[in-house]
Amino acid sequence: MADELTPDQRRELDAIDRALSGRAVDPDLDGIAALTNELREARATPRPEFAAQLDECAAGWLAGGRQRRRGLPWLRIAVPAAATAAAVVVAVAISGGGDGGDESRLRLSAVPEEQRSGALAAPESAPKAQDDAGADAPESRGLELESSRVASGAPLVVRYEIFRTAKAEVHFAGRSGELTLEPGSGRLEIGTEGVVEGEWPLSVALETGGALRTTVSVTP
Amino acid sequence: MARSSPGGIDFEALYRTSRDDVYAYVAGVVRDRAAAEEVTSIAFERALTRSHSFSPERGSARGWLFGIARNAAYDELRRRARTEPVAEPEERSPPAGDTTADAAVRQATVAAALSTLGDDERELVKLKFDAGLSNREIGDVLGLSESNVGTRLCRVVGKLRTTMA
Repeated sequence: MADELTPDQRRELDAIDRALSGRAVDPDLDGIAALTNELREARATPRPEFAAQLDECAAGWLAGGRQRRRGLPWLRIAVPAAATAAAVVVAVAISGGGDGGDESRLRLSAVPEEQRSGALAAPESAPKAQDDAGADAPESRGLELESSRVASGAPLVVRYEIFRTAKAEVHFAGRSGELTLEPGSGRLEIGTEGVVEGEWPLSVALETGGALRTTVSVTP
Repeated sequence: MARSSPGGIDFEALYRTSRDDVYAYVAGVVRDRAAAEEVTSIAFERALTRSHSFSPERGSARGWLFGIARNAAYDELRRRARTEPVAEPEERSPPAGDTTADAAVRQATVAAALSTLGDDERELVKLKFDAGLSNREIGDVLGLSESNVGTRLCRVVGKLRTTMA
């Protein structure tokens, strides 16, 4: 077949694998080894803060896996679309058994504008910044981060205004969750309990097309 | 200590040996640090959630994991293409890396050479050199035979060497 490797190609491929694993290559293949090292060194490496947070999440996921019969219900949260505007929709990830699985939760709450309950702590005031989903979005007027800084444990607030029911997918600090937003404006509150100090990526995406992606600074 | 899934995967080991490789590969695809972190998290989450879909007869665990990471990364690119005009990130931060002057020159040279490659060729480079996959694992991800991967890889490496010479 045309894919059959020649002896020279086999040597080159072997040299690449040897270089990738830090082993010596035949001198006539030094060029291949040098290129391999250049490419390898150019690769991106994760920020230590992110790596640590992901390790923490992974430990929680693995521990949770031992305690559950199936799947991982710990992050994905679906709130019934039938929830009425009068309701303060709160979605809480299901705990893995109440033995310290809190760090794997992402708590999401949608507080419609008119029915803001005040039950959840108000975020610090700060200049409005970051992305605005824009006036040209047909299904939503905007997603706007209230503040790009939040104290660990305080809710991170994203203001929204949407014109039809939309599922929102949220990823923050290596955690994720979903909930359904009803038409109108309000506050999407994202729990930061257990999130360690540092810069963390936040992404909120509406199934109807609007999205917000930015970085949030979590302070002690 | 090994924690196996129904599919027989030792997730702890898979995570430990693949975390940085998945991030490096994903960062190469999405070219944005925040998105790379998000997609890396999603990839591991999906892998654990979908462990039942892994079948050792169909390939290696690493190949399977990178297949999931690849899908998540391309989902991100598709979502970005759909939403970008509406919500352009304020500033794309490049993935973390060495930022000394020499390294910057070196990286620019490599980036210039990589830019001459086609999409399929760049994908191969990411899976081989960023992710550090074996040719068989790359074949698992891309649905190619190991020898086909090898042939393509030799061609790409030859091209890069010529460009960078």
